[in-house]
Amino acid sequence: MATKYADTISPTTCLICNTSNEPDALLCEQCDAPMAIVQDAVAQERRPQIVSVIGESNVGKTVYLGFLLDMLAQRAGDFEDVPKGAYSVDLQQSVISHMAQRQFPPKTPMEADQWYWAYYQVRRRQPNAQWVDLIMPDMAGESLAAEVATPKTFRVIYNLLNKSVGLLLLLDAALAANGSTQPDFFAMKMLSYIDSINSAKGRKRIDTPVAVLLCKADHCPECFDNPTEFVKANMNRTWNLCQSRFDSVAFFATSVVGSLGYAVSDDQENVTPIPLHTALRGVIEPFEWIIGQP
Amino acid sequence: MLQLFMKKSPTKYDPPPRRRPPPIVQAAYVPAEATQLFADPLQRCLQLERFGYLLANRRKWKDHPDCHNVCTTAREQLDEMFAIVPEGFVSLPQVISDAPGCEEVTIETEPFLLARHPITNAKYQKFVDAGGYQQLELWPKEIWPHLIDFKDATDYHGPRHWQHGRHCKPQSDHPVVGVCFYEAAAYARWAGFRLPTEAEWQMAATWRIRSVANVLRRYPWGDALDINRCNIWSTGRKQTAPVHEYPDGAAPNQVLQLVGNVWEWTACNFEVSDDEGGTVLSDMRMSSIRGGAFDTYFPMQATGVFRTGLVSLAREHNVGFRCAMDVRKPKK
Amino acid sequence: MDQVIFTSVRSPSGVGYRIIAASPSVNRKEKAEIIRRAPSHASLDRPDPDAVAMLAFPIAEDRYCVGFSQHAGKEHTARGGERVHTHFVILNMQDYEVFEMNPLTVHAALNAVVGGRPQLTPPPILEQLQLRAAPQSMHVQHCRIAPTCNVEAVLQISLAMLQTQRLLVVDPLDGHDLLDQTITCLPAALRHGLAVSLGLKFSPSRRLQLCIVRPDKAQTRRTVAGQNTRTFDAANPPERKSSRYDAWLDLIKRRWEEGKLTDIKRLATDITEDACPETLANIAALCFDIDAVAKAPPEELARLRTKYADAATAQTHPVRLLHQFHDAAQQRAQELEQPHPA
Repeated sequence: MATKYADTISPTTCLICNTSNEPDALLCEQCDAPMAIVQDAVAQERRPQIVSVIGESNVGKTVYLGFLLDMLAQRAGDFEDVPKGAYSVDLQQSVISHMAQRQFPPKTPMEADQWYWAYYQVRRRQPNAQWVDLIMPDMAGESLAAEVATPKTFRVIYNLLNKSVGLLLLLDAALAANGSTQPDFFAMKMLSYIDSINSAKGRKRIDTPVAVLLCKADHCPECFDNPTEFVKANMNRTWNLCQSRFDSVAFFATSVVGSLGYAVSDDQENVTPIPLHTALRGVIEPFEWIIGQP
Repeated sequence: MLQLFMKKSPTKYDPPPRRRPPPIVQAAYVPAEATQLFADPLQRCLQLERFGYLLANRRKWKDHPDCHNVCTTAREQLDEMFAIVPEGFVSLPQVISDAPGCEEVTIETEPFLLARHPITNAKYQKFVDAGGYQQLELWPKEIWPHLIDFKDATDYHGPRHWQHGRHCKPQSDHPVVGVCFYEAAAYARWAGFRLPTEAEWQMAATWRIRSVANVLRRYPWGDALDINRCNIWSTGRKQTAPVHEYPDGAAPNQVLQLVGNVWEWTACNFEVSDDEGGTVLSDMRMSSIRGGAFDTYFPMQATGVFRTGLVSLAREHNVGFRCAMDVRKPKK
Repeated sequence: MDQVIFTSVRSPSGVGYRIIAASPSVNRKEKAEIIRRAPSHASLDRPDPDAVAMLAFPIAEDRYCVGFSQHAGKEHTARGGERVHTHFVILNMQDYEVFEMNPLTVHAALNAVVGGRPQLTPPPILEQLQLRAAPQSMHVQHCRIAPTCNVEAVLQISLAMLQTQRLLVVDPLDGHDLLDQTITCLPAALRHGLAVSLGLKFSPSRRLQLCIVRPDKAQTRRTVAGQNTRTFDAANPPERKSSRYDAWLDLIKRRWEEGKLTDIKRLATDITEDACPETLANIAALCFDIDAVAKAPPEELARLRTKYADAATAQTHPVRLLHQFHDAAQQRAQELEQPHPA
């Protein structure tokens, strides 16, 4: 006999790190995840899945996730989504309101209690389509980098990646196209870290779907022509690692900004990037692919 | 649907069947036929739709037996292609934030002729077939070193997304995209036209005539957004549309698709300041583009008054152009 | 002393907030601890360019870390808010004792070295830092009660620290004097384990025992919910509840009201090993008896002398205080033996 998922979890046990918390806790005492996620999950009949958006600092995780959620809310692609809890809308509201005013949203702090968390129910707009509950946190790139460099520095990240059923790995295509090896090395470290998490489970190959997104592809439109070839040519280390260790990897190019300007202060010391207008490309497709993976 | 289940790990390392990467879906590319150019230069001008050039240089062919007929046809075509935009005035915000009350420059515009449609792939094909990229007089001297970069996906001269110098035939009546400002200007010059200035473009889109009413339209059709009248992101089309679609979105003079479908190059540089008065720069010179495109997410960025710019050498998938002409003043 | 710089710069080695320079003897665990706690973007309480903050906490291997945070212009991504630059020093306990185990003293010394001069392009390897405490901060004679400080607030904070509770204090002033006076009153045995911040926004991620914030924000109070963290307003501290530390706190209060902060400081500094309630109660009782013996009648004097006759052997009280008691008792006895003038 099927049991409600709600019957299997406690409303005070964090979904991310399984720590028991006080009934009135807003944040998990251990990992600073919002306890509202648990309270919303308890009301559902299925366990929420975690899809993590990961990437280096300033690659565009917040902007990508904000637009993705907003597009889903507007029923882009074949999907529709419903936010669970007002906190879930904070991220897309921040991103959309800033970008509409030609500003990038503020930097995501390293402090986990400052992160945006999104809990959405998503399904394809088809008859008899099933709802899927997704938790998508917006993590700080520096925290990810620190965790990769020294595992368990941020246990919340370890727990999130350990429990993720899908990963969206964002890489800076503009940097890679300019010949920088930074995105390649970061991707290697990130994928190796995920590999080590899975190795601890005794798996030789990782079956967690990983969508590799080449962000800021407006700087190098060749990415859109063939993202896979772009990665092969410009991030060969990452490509080889994906082939060796990951069962399910796909490459995508994405872009949000149509044109970028820079405001330079009088003393030439501060350069503020300004998104002059938006032109969304390739935002939904990686998510569609992740959701479509068994 | 995602499921949480544990796959059985292989007992020894055997490369499992690799999952196929997602297919890169491309519509079948059907190259348009090559244009068989007429030998006679006058007829060829007409064939290539260089109506402005033909009429501006008709003295050259005054002795040609078909000159009168050809010129008549050219004028008729121009009447079809262009619509008059009356004189008026526009206000161009000078600050990036574009907030009410910000610094603006008011520009009076003279009457001029604006093309009813953006330039299509079919029309641009004629420019390519006629060797427009090889005619250096059409290009500013500082751009000559960059001409070798104005190639399509297969290294032929042409817009970025073409192949072998041919456009995709099913999209013959779509606006040409993947062309930079200089390519747009070269085409306009070749055809005997020009690009509209930013003020002219805005006048055509907002129809701000000096009158007692002082009406300012946000869109060519009025003040309220209607996604059935234009092709922007919320319309859901996700790609360009034929230039004759969305007739309900026309301006009063039946100029179509000023808002949505593709951004349009104008003849002006894009120069604005930030809120602190500093200049907004880019990697290179920026030209002003207007109107929004099929992938413009924010409706406020697809209006007749929204100002933005793009690096002049950029060849984007969502930027095209339309031509303008001066109104010939009657002789006194 | 070892030093570490944590801030956000763009360099060939990386981008964003991270440790950009460190002394070679700072080990991996210590670096991880610093990264976990260090303030990142827009973490300072005040948005002013000249705002500063302090973060102090025990770090692995019996060392103590004090951080000086300041704004350092716009971050390279220029995405709103000020860049936060934190210069940490890591002290062993001997070095920390030189600074009276008061992180504010270390902070002041750091201010003299790095205040207003955030290093954004330091060499990746930093040499040991020589820090000297400002002389006046060390001199006992200059220990004075800050006129802006509320003794009840100090006592409340002291009690929370003694009971190892977590506390968020909202101080409408900058909180510096409040924290300074509180640490002065805190037994030295507790100071090396104190994790405290001043001038930083509250963040549960930092796992601090004491956090003093300047403006009172409703969001802060909501974030505190369920975190086993008490909160109160320093301007209006709640009534102190009875506890096993009442005697000690009453002593602090009496000395405070007598204006004898020097005595408090000396007392607290002397308690280097054991700060359990019984010990503190014994000390408090002895201090009260020292006060009482100066005016005690003969019977009371005799009783008190008997009470502490074997205290030195039993080692239940600090030796200095016992000497002080016996000196006071001796003096009182001499007074009583002198004939009264007719």
